[in-house]
Amino acid sequence: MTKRFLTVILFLPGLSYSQGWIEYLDRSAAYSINFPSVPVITEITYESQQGLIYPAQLYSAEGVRGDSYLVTVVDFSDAQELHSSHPDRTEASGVNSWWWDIRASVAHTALNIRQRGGEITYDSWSWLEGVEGHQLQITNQDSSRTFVGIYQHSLRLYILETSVPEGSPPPGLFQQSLRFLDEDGVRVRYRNDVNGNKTRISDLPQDGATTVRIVERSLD
Amino acid sequence: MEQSRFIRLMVSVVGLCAIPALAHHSHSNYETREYTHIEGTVAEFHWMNPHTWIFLEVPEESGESTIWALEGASPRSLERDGWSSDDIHVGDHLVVRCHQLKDKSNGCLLGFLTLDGRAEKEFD
Repeated sequence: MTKRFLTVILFLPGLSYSQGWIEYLDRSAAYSINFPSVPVITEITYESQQGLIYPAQLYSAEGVRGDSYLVTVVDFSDAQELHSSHPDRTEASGVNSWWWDIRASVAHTALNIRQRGGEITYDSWSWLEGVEGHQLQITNQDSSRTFVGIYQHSLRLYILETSVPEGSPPPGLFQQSLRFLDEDGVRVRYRNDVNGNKTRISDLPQDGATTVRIVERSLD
Repeated sequence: MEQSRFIRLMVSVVGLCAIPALAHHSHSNYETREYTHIEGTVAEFHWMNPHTWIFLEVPEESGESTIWALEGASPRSLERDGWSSDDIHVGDHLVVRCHQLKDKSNGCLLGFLTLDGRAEKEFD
């Protein structure tokens, strides 16, 4: 089935401070993030730790300083079916393997990115909105720097990757702005405990007014 | 007296415990145990959710300058503290206390601002 999407600019106030940055909401992929421009979306695939192939979407945008911004959203919604239909009934088709594969996806992705090379200058556990993940900072051979954030929420994996030229400011404006949405498009945030349990916070405060455009993409 | 000091202490402890639950993201990539002092000119100011950002052009001893990315609180939080989107402009001179990225690159978590010689004010 072909899905049709609608992209709408919701708010267009004075842009004197924003330098073109937008707050981008994608209800179909259940996230929002700041981009330097409206991203181009490409359908790709993602190979999991257990070697299964999942559908994914790559969102890409360019900044004004030669910087690039990528979000990969991997869709694990068919994980259970994919694992149970594994043809040779190996260990990978066991009853729990589908969610092990999902839970392993953050570490698996981090490993793949480390193996590309470059000097790793930061490599640590992280969290956004109470969702645990991982951050990497890498200085590449050409002295450009790559910043990575990897988070798994619900049945999706979000991989944020930015590369900036040598000396450019770090891309926190993008990397620290990821937020998760529920099926109704409402922001999700959790309260955590030491054992990793998550409780959704029900009374999140509304956002304050901003000076940037809000661009929303949703199913038509 | 002792009881009131105890209550104040407990409120502080409870407040500190509550921060991680309500914060938007981890600050573990910043050196949060010490402040870095920098001074420069505002190159960009982004009043946006979930965090505001100031890009500050900081002169170096070499005569070159470096753009630093300074992360501030959310617009709503800053408004509560008396800031508005019209308080900072490109070209303003800022003195800053912030937590630098652990890899010692040009990113910093605010922190406090001194704007054009006025009193230092929190921007977090």
